[in-house]
Amino acid sequence: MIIPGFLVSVATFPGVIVHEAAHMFFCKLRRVAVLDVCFFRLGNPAGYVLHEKIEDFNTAFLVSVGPFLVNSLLCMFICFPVFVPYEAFGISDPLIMLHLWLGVSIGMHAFPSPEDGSSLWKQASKAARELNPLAILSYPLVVLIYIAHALSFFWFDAIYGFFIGIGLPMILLANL
Amino acid sequence: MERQLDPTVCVECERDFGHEEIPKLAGVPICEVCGERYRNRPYPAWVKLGLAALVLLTLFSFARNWRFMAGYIKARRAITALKGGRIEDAHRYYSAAAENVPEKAELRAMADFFEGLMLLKDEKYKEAAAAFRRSGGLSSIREAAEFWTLVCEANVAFDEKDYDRMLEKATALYKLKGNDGLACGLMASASACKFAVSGDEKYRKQALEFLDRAEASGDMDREEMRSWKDRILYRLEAKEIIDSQEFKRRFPDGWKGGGAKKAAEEKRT
Repeated sequence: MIIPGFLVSVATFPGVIVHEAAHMFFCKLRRVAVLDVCFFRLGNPAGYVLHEKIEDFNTAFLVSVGPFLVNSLLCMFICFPVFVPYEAFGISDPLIMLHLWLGVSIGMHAFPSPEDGSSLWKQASKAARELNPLAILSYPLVVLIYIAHALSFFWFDAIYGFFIGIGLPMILLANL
Repeated sequence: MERQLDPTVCVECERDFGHEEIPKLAGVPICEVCGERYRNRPYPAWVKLGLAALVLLTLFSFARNWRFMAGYIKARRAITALKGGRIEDAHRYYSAAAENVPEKAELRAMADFFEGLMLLKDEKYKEAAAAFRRSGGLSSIREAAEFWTLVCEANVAFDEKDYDRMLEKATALYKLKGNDGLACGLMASASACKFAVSGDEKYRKQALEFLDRAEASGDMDREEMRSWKDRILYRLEAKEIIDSQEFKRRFPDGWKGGGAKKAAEEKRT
């Protein structure tokens, strides 16, 4: 099913806000100046954080990849209290549905944007020359970011959101 | 073309630092104080409030839905107990899970079913039948619940010496499960009771026929089958109906048998 990107962003706007808030959080954490920020808008991109040029690779890595961790963890945290009644007992009430929407929306926007990937790639190329192990490790991650972005046409981002929000806790609980 | 900026004047607050060049941020001179505002840019209040609401909502849901989590864990423990043949534990866990999640009728039905099995083990047939009947609403165990309800009801009828009802229940059981060892055994037992009280030869024949079927099914272990067979053959020969405890009391080393037993054994050889 083909749905325009901006409609997906509107339907999952909490994920966009959390993603940009996480970018900003890591900028603040590493004292990177944030020149402009938009948490959500009707347009492409749906949100952005404009920051000063980052020279240090570790900082660039954190700012680019940080939202992936934050959105993924928050997705699990929000879905966790409701996935058992929903998945194991088939119970659904408005609060449960609200949680699932919030959790999956946030999980869906976990992946860094191609712009984040491209800036990470540039930084990694420089840092890899200095044999920074994190830079070398980040190459496959950048490839993964591009693949995830390409596959988002096939709802990979939504599948990821459902997987970490519902699938993963289910697997964990089944193996308790 | 590039706009010329005085490197000693902050573009934000326009403070002039005289001859001192101030650091640049994104290519433009910005003083320490103004730069700090960019480096530690505050979140808008609505973002802070939104995230706080999200966390509070999730914590509230944790508290509200904890019983589902506890119920799920107990249900899984019940399944593990069942796999290990620990019926009492399965019953205990299913009961606890049903208390946690009362809206899930299946958990209560499973708890009732295992309660029925425990009561059956203790030969409390009336209570066991009631428990099995309660569990019968769950489609996945409906047939098993119906089967064990009939087994219990046949035993209740035996205890109440209502042999017509016992035969009726045993017949229903046989119709439900066909050549199942227990169904055939109960048919043999009920027919033997009917023969003992009526002397009608057709019940004697029926008892022996179903005894054979029960033995041929191989559903009961050897010792259980031997004790069952001895009691039915004794019933046919002595025309006396005694329960298993009385039988064991009278024949602690097993019944050596008379004509009926010998005839049944000859028939099998």
